[in-house]
Amino acid sequence: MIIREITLQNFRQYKNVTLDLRCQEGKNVIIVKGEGGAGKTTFTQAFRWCLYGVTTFRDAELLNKDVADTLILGNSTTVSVTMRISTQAMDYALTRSLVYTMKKTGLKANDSSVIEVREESRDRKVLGKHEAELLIRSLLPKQLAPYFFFDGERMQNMVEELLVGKGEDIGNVVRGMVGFSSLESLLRHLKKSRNTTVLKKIEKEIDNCGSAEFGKLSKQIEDDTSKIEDTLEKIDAIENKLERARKEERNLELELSTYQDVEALQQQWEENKNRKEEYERQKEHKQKMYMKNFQSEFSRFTMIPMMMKCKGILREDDLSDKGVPDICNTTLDFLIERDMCLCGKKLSENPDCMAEIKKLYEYVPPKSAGTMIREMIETIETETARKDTFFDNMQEFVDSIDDLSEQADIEEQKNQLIDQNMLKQGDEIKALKQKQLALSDTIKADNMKVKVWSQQLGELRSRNKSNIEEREKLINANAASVRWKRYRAYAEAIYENVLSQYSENEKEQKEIFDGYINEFIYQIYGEEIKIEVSNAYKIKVLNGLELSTSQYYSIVIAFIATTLKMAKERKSSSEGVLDYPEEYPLVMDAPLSAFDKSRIRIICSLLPQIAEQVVIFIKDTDGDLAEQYMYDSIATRYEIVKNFSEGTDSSVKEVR
Amino acid sequence: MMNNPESIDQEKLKQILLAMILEERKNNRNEEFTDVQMVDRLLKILEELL
Repeated sequence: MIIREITLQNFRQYKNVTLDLRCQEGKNVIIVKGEGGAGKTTFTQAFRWCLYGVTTFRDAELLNKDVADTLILGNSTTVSVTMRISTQAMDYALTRSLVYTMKKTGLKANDSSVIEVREESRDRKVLGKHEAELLIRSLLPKQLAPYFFFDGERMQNMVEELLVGKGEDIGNVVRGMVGFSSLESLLRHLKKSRNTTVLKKIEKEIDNCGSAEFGKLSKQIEDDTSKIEDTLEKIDAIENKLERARKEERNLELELSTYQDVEALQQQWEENKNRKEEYERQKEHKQKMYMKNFQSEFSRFTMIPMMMKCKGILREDDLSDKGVPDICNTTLDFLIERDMCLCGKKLSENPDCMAEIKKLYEYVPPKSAGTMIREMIETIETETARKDTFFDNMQEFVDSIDDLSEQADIEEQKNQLIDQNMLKQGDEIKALKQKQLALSDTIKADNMKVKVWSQQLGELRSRNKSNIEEREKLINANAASVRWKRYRAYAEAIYENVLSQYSENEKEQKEIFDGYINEFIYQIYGEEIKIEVSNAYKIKVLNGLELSTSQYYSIVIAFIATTLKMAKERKSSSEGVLDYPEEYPLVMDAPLSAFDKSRIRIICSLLPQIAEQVVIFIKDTDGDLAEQYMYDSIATRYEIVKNFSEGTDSSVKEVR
Repeated sequence: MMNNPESIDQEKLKQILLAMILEERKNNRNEEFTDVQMVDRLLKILEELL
């Protein structure tokens, strides 16, 4: 499909505007530039509204505001968009219109818009509603419209649609676009297992030719075939489930192996505990030693100041010289008893002498006071000389006890960590093992089911085979069914042939799609983003990394480019079983806003090569770049002019 | 699945296959016929060409 022209009547800010979009040889780009708010998006939405009757405007009102304001009560007016297009078969004019009427309650639109499709041939035939819808669907399926009537501002939605597990299934649409529709419908119409199919009808005809016994046999074959298919489906489903379960089981084993060996942790715990107990024993011993030392040394230590003082007093008094050597108290007793002093005076007559003798009692032995004092001073000196080592010894004990306490604490902390770790790991391991056990039970049960069903399948197949053989014999013996038997042989052969061509082509086309999209991504993004295309033509990013916006947008552009290229290639293919799809125009609104300059350049050089027709609505700055990069491919340049005095009537002028 | 493969004429088979694909292609474009009608039309092609 090529859009030759589009005309907007009373559509939003356009009262009456026509764009000539015809291309020339080698010049297939139309550029429409406009500042923000001028009406670029309105234009791109007009294409979609014309084809499908939908827009994504926030304000759903389509009628031009000026026109609405001048509408008088009871009068009606029409909003319309006309697209004149060329397809491989015919030229058409598509007009969608919506009537607005001014009522007492205000402006009212009809319930729905109306599409009219007219052949631009000599007889200007107008297509019926159904035909018109079919034509539009065949031109471009609605699901793909966002990619070909492309709104750069809504790129994120397109990304979501394309990713595996998100959005609608666009696989069938893409398969249709690359030419598989006819093969798919033929397979559907031939297939044996469905109720209304060619093969089913033939089987019924064969049955009708036979006897009652024949019909019974056919019924049995039909039932068994249906059971076989059901059983195969069940086995297939459970095999898939088993495969997932086995994979999960392997993952669980792997996960469990990553946990530290509990036995090793337990051994480490014991070693730490033994070390801690040894430190505590040593600490206890040191504490005892400390107490013993304290008890033995403390009294002496506390007496030292007193001894020092005592030594000072004893030295000061110098009592050691006052004693008489070798005289003891018995000598004094003798002198008093004899009543005569050593000097020969009578003691009873000389009280002074008596007093001197009695004073001597203070100094003479039993033990000589002087000796005692000397000995005491010597003892005091010895004891006071030892005072420093007491402190040092006690401090040493204290340090040692502290050190041992610390060591014991460290071992205790190590074990607390191991306890926590073991507790945590224990819970996790327990949970994983429970999961493993449950999984193993499920696998066993499912394996058993597969075994039972396989056995049933074997029995069914064997019975069915012999029934089919029996039936074949009856068919061969029945001349009336020969014709139908021939039809069946051909129908089956065709079914097998189509199925094989479908599988081969689908695989091949998907591989081509896969190759092209990766190639385009590399071309646009400049680096490889390895993606895989699922059977439903959804995109899966293989490295599993979160991609940047610009990478995702490159994927969208690459998807569009791939679909266009494949459709173009199908068109040029002249033979084969695949359909020849239409070519698609590319109408893009702000397509480059998400890209940097270098990528804009790449996209600008890529799009005109792939699409038959490119219509770009673009803001001034990006437009200048696009114009520069696509210079040789531009057929026409337009500029949207916003009428500021009225604000509701934009026009478009050609720029030469 | 196939019965008496030796009796299949490959040229004929190709002819029927192409006729059927064309019929499907036509209907996919015009959606003129329902599934039931299409089955009858395909069967008719088979009958006519055999």
